[in-house]
Amino acid sequence: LRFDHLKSLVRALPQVAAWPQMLELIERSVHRDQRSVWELPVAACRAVGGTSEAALAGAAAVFCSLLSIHLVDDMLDDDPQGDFHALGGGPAANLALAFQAAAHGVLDAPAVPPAVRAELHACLGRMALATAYGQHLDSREVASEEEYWLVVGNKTPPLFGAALKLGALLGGAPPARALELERLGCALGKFVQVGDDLSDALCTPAGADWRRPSNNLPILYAMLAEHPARAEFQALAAATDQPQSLAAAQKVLLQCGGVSYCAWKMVELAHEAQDILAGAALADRQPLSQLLTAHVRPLTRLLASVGFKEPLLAIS
Amino acid sequence: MSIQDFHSRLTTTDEPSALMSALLQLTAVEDPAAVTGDDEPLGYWGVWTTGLATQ
Repeated sequence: LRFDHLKSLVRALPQVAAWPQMLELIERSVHRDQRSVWELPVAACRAVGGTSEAALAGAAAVFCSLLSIHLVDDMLDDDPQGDFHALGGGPAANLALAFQAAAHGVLDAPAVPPAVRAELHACLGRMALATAYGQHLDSREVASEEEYWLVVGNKTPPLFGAALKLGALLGGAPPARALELERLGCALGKFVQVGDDLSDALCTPAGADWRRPSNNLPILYAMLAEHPARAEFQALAAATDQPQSLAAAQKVLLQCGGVSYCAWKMVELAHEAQDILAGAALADRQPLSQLLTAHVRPLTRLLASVGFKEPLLAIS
Repeated sequence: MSIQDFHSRLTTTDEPSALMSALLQLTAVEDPAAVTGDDEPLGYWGVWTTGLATQ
């Protein structure tokens, strides 16, 4: 019901209402409780003492931002599933601009005090610029692990950080509290990005990340770590458009420890997020601890499948 | 921990922690689909259904 309300806020913008492709992308979006990034403003708003309703404008802004980022990301990655194939590159880029502007449009809710509204717009603008810069860095192959973390730090955390900050501001949080939650979002963003790398490297047919292999953490691991199949992997990675090569390369990712390393880093990042949350003075920690738990659940399940049954988080 | 440090620890530690033991077990998993999961995939942002837009 809340997602329907969110979508109706976006559809209410006059240009959106008159633009079939925008409406179609909105309708094709899939909501998952606790996991969709537009849930973050709602959890942050409730955590600082606000209501879900007060966060809806922030959630809608994050939703529009994600659509904008996704449209551009598909073009940068030359993703075979990208909408730009059907729409054309120019129209897809224009749609992305429209969604970026719509994100600002939905924040102009009359109920939001003007001073808060100004801070919301500034936060969203900083996020859009930071993400675009991160996408720019990600458009060329990284040469080292250090560079990988530099790119990841710029690419994904700004959206997650801004999502929590927008929610906190809409809930009436003071700037310092909103900044704390932005830091939490940044840690969660890195956690999600490493998971995204794993999913992309292990999906079938070959995901877009195989086109810039060193920008994907498990693939980078397989290229840098000193394991017996490293030379073989380099050749396989260059031929993943062939199903047999992809299957063999993915087997190496598991055997060499690349997947294990990602799981290790995700545990580290989950703990970092948990520590930030534990240190934040909040009216109600539960909405954010539930959000974090939901994001960590697939990792918990993965580790349980190989015998690790201890809880990953102390919060629940 | 860097890639090189992790790889060294994964392959040479005599008495690994419970987590490191599990991560070592993970290197023996054969099916990539067992890692990513279907119902609750890793790295999910919440976007849209795959497939090209119809016009």
